[in-house]
Amino acid sequence: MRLTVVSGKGGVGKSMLASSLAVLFSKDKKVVAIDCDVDAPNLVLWLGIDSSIKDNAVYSKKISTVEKPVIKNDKCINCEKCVDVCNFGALILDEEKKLKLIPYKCEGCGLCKIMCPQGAIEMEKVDNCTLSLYKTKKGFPVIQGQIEPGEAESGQAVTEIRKYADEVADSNTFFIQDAAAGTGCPVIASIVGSEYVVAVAEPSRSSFSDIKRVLDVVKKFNIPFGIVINKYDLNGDISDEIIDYAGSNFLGTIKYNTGIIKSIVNLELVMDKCLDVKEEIVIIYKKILERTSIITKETS
Amino acid sequence: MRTIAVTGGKGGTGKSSFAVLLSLKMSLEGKKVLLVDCDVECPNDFILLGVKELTDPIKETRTFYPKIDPDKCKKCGFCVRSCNSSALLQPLNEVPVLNKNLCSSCGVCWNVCPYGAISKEEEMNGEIFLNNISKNFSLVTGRSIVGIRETSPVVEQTRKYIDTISSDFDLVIIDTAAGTHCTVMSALDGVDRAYSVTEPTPLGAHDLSIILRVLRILKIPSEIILNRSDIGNKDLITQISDKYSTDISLEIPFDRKFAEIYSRGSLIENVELLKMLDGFSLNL
Repeated sequence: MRLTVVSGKGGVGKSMLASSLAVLFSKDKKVVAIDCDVDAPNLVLWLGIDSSIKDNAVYSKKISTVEKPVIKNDKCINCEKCVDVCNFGALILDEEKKLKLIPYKCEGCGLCKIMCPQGAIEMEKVDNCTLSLYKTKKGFPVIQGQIEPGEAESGQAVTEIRKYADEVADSNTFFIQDAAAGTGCPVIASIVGSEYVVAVAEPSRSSFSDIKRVLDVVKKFNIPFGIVINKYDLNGDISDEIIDYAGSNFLGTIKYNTGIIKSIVNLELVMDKCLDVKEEIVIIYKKILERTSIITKETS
Repeated sequence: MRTIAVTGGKGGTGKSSFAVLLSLKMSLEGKKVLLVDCDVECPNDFILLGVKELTDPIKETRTFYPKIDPDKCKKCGFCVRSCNSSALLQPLNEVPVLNKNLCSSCGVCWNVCPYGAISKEEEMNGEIFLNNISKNFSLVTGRSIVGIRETSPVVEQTRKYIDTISSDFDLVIIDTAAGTHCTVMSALDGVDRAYSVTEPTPLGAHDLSIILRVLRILKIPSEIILNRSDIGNKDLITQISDKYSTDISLEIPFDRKFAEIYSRGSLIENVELLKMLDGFSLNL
């Protein structure tokens, strides 16, 4: 089973909910949590690390999700064929008329190498992401990737950390994935292959607009989903509109609660410290359990 | 004309609110301001400016996908082997099939095909909207088509479009998406200064340190805007500010009333919100 938490808009409570659901599911399931926000992974902060482990990460390695051009300036004759052909504007001639790569614009397609008449470009692997596995306070593992600042293959990195998670899992593992904000490539790489998506909204016009956009992507993949409204009481009218929009996919609400901020500032688990929030999330958890067990039955 | 960016790494810290209020403040001070929403996957600035819906795009953004001519294709598979995105699949002895979800529109296939069997087919991947908010204040929004995987070309084409109109303005303010990935870097490309909006939590601090490293790589001078400064632990942000020698140039305390106004949408009728920016001046 693979469950992914999305929201479109950032900062509405994705990681808080994903971490809390992971804690609840871990009681009777073998949970592996995956932080699919490889730009700015935060799930580890919400889940806490088992402090008995010395170097924090049980396992950590640099991974490469891309090959990038390396320019042999002694062979380059400044013909600019590569500059013209690159669809990403990743190659430029600098002030000294030397060919230069702008790494974050490069997709690693290799067209420059193919088109170079001088053989002045080689493609080489770049270690652009650090993959880490931590043991959480509650005992189950969380896996995250961290893209090197200035590198940009977030979607590929999500695919790679998911592959690694598959290696440490077995057929009974329950994956809980926390996606990035937005609707683009890293989010799509997270949604693909999920059996259920939980979408988190807050009652604001912005969040409502964004959740519709991300759910339109989810619908393209025909994945069943449920909607949770966080900070529900900040605007009852918009909450009601979101509930209407959700229809039978509505899962539940969480009230605005300053205890959540206190928990994260003190690096304590919401599920341990905010009992009123816990009560609300347990209701959501039970609904998800019901719906995902139907899905599991249908597929088996 | 100066171009500044509002960014921050973490989502939901108040990037769009700050960008909108700053634009409003500068326009009321007599500057001609162009606000550019480069959060093309989830643009929200128009909502905060009371624009009901984005209609009548001023321009469409485009990308290219390969189209294989089955009559010319000799099924050699060279394009399939050359595609680093695994977007072309070839059933045995058949013409290759494109998986658009994986295609980055890099152009390798149509450049390498020995038989000229692959042409590029144009497709819309986003739209650009222009809204005049007041005499001094315009909004440009880039918005990707839902389901598009590569959205940074939409950002780049939105930036190209504003280059054609920016000489009419004194100040261009670019609002970026959350995160640090390619769309954010395309939005930050070449700006004169960046303001990173954050919150005093371990999450805000963690993501702030990443975006400040990105800004350092891009050689963009920056400042920190600390939102909801009184809920959490300010020391977390002060430490990052010291470590990266980046000043905190504004602190905005939490205000539940603001959160309620924000939730309803438009900030613009509430000019009193501008007092949140009291004491802040743009470093131009």
